[in-house]
Amino acid sequence: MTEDLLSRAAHAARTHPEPGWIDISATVKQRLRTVTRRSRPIRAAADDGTTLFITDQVLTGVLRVAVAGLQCELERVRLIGDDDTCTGAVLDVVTFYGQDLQALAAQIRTTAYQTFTDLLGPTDPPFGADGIDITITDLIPE
Amino acid sequence: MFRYARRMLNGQGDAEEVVQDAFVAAWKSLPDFRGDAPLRTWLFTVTGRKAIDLFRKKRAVPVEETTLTDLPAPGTDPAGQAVQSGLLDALGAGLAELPWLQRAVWLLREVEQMSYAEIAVVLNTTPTVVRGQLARARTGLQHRLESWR
Repeated sequence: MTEDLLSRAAHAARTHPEPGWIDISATVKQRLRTVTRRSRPIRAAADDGTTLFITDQVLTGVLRVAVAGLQCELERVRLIGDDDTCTGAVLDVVTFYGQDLQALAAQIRTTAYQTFTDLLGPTDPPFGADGIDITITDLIPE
Repeated sequence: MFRYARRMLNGQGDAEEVVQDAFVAAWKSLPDFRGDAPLRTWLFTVTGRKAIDLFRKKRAVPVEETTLTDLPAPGTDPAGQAVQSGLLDALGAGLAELPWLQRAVWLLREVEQMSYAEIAVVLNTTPTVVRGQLARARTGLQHRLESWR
């Protein structure tokens, strides 16, 4: 019986609208709009040749998702390039012990190249001119 | 997140501060979010940490496991009150008397309906500990809501 009461209380807490949330959410959004994140603009090119800039965080974020599809995790990324160009990258990756690391590195390199060239477009100098270095750390499960 | 913070801190002003800080912290560290856990779990983790920070800042006393003391006074008549809001008030009071970890586990499980594994991630503990704390929280709340039976 008390168990039912607890379930009822939990349900009430879950469905009961939180007082003041509308005002608070507006305040939170307002504050978030004033918060900045440091990022580096990277020069990219649209298909028609127009120059545009994207942040390094976009490159890193998309690459992180792409690399996660290869059963490994992107630990750290360092972009290579002068000023606002990106001509290469150094990637630190973590994966499980027991894999063919050379084959995995080749897959990661291909994925990184495709991801970056898709995002940056036909830039000059092109992405990849300074190579893609990959360091893999393989771990055994606990 | 706001609901979780409000019930954890038992105060709207503190909860508002915690949720704001949590969103700002999450926004700033979003590029480092690896996706190991779902975004929701991660946001609750950040919210929980901010709530603990505020709790410690405001009350410089250690959080201790309390025994089942301070039961509701006999003779109260909950049936006479508006049922749902009265029940929620009683729940809030009961939760406020639980130790921090039990309160967090109960809220994440029963209100936010997270799995034991997700709760373990949010609270940086193990599913076994979550299971134990949840059982204790349920027992504690059952005693505290006795008059509502």
